[in-house]
Amino acid sequence: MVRKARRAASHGLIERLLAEHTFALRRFIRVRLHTEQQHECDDVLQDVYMRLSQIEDLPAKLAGRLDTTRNYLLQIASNLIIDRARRAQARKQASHISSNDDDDEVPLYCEVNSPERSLANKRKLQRIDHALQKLKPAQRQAFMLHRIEGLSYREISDRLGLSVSTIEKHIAAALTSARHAIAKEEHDV
Amino acid sequence: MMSKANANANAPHAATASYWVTRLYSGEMTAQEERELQRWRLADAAHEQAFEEALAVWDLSAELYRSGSESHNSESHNSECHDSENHDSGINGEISGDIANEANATPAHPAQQQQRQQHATKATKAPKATTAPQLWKKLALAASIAFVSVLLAVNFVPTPTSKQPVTQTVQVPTSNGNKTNAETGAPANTDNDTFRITHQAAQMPLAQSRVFSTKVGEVSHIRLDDGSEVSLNTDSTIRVTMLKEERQIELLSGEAFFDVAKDANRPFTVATQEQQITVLGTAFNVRQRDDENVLKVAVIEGRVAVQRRAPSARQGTDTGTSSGRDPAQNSTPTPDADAQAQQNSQQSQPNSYTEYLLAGDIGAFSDDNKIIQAQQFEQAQTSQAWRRGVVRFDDDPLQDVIKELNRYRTHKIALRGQHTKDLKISGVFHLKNGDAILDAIAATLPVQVIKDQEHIYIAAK
Repeated sequence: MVRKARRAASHGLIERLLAEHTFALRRFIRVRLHTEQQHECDDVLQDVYMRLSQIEDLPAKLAGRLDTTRNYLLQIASNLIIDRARRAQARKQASHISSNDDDDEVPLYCEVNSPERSLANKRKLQRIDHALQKLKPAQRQAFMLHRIEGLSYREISDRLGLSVSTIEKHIAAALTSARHAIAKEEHDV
Repeated sequence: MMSKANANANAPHAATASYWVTRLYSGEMTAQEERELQRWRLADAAHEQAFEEALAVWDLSAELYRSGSESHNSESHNSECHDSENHDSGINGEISGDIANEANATPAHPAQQQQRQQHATKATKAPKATTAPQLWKKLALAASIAFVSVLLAVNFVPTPTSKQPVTQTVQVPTSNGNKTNAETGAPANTDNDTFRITHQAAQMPLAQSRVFSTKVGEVSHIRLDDGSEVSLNTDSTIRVTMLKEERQIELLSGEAFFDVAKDANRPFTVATQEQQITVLGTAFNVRQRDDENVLKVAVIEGRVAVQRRAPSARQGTDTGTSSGRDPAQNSTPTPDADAQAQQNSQQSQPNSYTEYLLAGDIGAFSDDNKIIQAQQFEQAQTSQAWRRGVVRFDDDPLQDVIKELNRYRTHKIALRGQHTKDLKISGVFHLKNGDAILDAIAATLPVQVIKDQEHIYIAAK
């Protein structure tokens, strides 16, 4: 009974959150999926809703985020989109393999979690890491604080004492170097 | 920037792609930017490829911490602030760097640690995945790391009063409901300069007023039961009255930030001595200080209308609820009603005005003057940094910096000597760091800090 009441309150909160940030979320989803299709955005938003409703005591969590609620929502949407893409790819691979091998038991994540893939990813990550080490400390810090610790640009700005636009430039520069490091590897291979 | 000798054909577009990915994840991409990006992606297949590749690297980079490079990670998180390049910000990274490093080495402040601990615990408990277990796990882990790391930056407590053993403070609240009581009850010993952030949830019966206030050095986040959140800065007081047709707040003193839950049928108004602010959107900061004699309104999101309160209404109900009967000040948040309200107020009160502020605008209102600065997004954001216990300065005179810091202190700092006042300082200060701020100032400027039993002075060296 009590549990039910808390759930209901939480759904009210989620609806409010999504309503409040709907434009930013939809924009983010449209760009990530590269689509103008309303229903595709709706699907992802639905997943975001589901995800949020699985989080226990959401208000307390959000209280810690203060004005970075939106970044939190985007991060959730981002993870869901990546997850969808990987599943879609895995499904494609699975059906491809099964048509060749008549093997119906191919797990959904076979490609995603395959040793080859993790090895390739690991090598790429090492490349990225190596590239980041060569950056200016502030650039590397800004990038890591955002990508690993999930801080918003504003929070990083407060932390490092640099303006938000500088933080954005640092992160973009770090991404470009990481990108070059991987391109270089692909070129070498 | 990088050696591009071996990079592939998309290299020229990589920087642009990075720019767009970074913008996308800022959460602040505008409709116009979206159109620009869309045009850019469609203009050339190489653009699209560069963008997709940048996104792929971006996504992959989230896994850096578990790729066996942990040693690098920890190193890069908490060191080398001194090397920060400050070319286009003009903000000095050294001060915050010093404080952050000191903070890393010291135990947590009780309330903060408890709160963070709670978040961290919740975050790791959260995943109940049905679709993709490994991703939930990753997200939850990232979240808990974020909370812990915030803790590191803000909990340096140098005052002798808080020398309790650390173990005592690490308690994970057992149930969700206990949070409010535990935290509002916490700051019993207020006679020190320990900065603290408290949380409250307010049950507001209809038509009853309730006063909330903060002590010096306290920031309080108050969640009203309509879903709005009010943050009160140090030494501030508000009165909240929830009516059926209106949500009325009076800012009696100090500074407050409002994140307003949308309710078209119940306007949210904030009354100060001189002005009434009607909220047409969501989040904004209001600052009214006696010694400044100026009301400052900074809008972070949405739109607000600021109206001068009629002198008669002001005198009549100085301490009571705001002039709710006046139709000009009771506008519903529709454009027509706004326009109407504006007309009415102009007709009936020659001295009055209605000023509309949009996101990024900062308005300063005094008796005989008003200054609106449009599109000051960064400054508007900075105006609410105190909610996280942070104050930012950008080439500000030491005099102003000390004045601002003193707002949070019972043990005030005084400046000695004429020219010390005008020394300029930049930096980000975490209020929890207490007197470490003084050390940072002494290390940066040609000044010394003199402390005796009752006073703290800053004087020329």
